[in-house]
Amino acid sequence: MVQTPERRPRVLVADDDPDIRDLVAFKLTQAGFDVTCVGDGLEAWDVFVDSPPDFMVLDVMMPCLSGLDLLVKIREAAQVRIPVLLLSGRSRDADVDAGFAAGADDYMVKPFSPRELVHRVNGILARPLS
Amino acid sequence: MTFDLTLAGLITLAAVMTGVACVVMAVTVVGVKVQRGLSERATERRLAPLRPLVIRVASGEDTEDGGALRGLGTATGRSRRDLHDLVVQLLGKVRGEPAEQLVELLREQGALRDAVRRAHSPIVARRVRGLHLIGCCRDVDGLDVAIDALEDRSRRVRSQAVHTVGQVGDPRAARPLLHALRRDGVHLGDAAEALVGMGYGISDALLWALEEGHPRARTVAAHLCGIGGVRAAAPVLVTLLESHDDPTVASAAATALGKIGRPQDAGALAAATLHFFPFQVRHAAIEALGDLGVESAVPVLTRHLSDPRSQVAEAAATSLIAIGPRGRRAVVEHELVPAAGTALALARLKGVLV
Repeated sequence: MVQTPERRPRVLVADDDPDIRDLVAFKLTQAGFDVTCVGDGLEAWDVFVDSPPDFMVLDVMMPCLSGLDLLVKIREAAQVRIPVLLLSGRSRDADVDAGFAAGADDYMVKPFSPRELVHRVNGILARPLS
Repeated sequence: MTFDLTLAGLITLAAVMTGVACVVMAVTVVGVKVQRGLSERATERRLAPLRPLVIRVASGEDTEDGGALRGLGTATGRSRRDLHDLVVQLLGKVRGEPAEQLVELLREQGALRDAVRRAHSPIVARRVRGLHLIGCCRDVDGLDVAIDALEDRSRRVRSQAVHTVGQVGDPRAARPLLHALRRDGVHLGDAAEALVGMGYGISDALLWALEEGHPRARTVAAHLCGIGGVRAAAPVLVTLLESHDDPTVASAAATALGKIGRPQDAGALAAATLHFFPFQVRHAAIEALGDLGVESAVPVLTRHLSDPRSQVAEAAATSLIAIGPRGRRAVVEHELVPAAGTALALARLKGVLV
C-alpha cells in the first residue's frame, strides 16, 4: 500500500514589505508550512478566492486593500472560519482592538520575534474549529 | 549687434527662457530618477547573494555552526556597507535572539567605525544615519560621539542622538542628555525613555537636574524620580513644589512626591492645593495626596469636594476614596455634592465600594 505523505498546512502571507514577507515565509517553511506570499491586499483576496489557505498572516497597512478591510471581507465571504493573525507596526490599544473587532484570531506588533510567530500560528491551528 | 527690445520681443524671450528652464528641469528629474533606479539595481545585485543569508539569520534559522553568519562575514567594500543598511532595516522589524545576532554581526564587521565616521559628516542625513547605526550596534565605544551629537546644531541630529544614547544605555550619558534639554528639538518623552534605558545609575544625574537643570530637564527628572521612587530627591521636589516658578515643574514634582510615598511630604502637598497655586499644580497635588494615602489629608481633600474647578473637585473625591475607609466615609457624607456623587457611583461600578 502506498502511503500518502501528510499534507503541510497552507499559509498565505500578505505584506508589502519584502523583508517581512521573505522572513516570515522562510521561518514558516522551516517550521513545516507550505507558504504563499503576496504583496498587497487585492492579491491576497485573489489567492483566497482561488484556493483558501489554512491560515493567513496579514499586514494591516497594505496598498490597494488594507489588512483590516481584507479581513472583514474574508469573514463575510467564507463559509469556514480561516484563522488570521495580524502582523502590524501599529501598537496602540485602539489598533489592537480594531484588529480583533475585525475578526483576527491574534495580533502581533512589529518588531516581532519570528519564533513567537511560529508558536502562535501552531497554537491557533491546534485550537478546535469554532 | 543690437537688440530690438520691444514688448513682443521681451515676451518671446521670456517664453523661450521658460521653455528652456522646463526642459532642463525635466531632464534633471529624469536623470535623477534614472540614476536612482540604476543605483538601486546595483545595490540589489550586490545584495543578491547576501540577502538569503541575512533572512536566515533574522528568522533565527542559522545553522548550528553559524554558517550564514560566516557567509555574511565575507562581504567586503560596497557590499558590506549595503549589508549594514539591510541589517539596520531588519533590526526595526525583528526582536529577540535573531536581532541580537544581527547586532553582533554589525559589531564584528566594524560597522561602528563606519557609523562614527558618518556621525562626523557635514551632511545632516549622514550624521543621523551614523547615530542610528551606533544605536543599533549598542556599543559603548560609540557613546562619546553620541554624547557630542546631543549638542549638534541640527535638531534632527540632536533628536536622533537622544535615541542613540538610550539604546547604548550607559548612565554616563544621563547628565549630558538632561543638559541638552535646555534646547528645543528633543521630545521630553523620548528623553525620559532614553534615560529609563540607562538603568539605575542615573539617580545622581536626576538629582543634579532637579537642583540646577533647565525647567524641561527638571520636569523629566521629577517624573523619573517618581517612577523610580528616588527618596533622596524628595527634599528638592518639595522645594520645587513650594517655589512653583514653573507650573509644569511644580506639578511634576507633586506627582513624583505622591509616587515616592513619604508621609512627611503630605504637608507640602496639602499647602499646594491652596487657591493661589496654579490650577495644574493644585490638581497634581490633590492626586498625589491620594497616591500618598495618608489619613491626615482627609480634611484638606474634603474641603476641595466643593472646589469651583470641577476637575479639582473630582480629583479630591477620587483621592479620598483611594485613601481608605476614613476618606470613603467623607465622600459618602458629601454624596449630594456632584463630584462626590460621581466618584461614589464610579467606585461602586468598579467594585471598590459596595
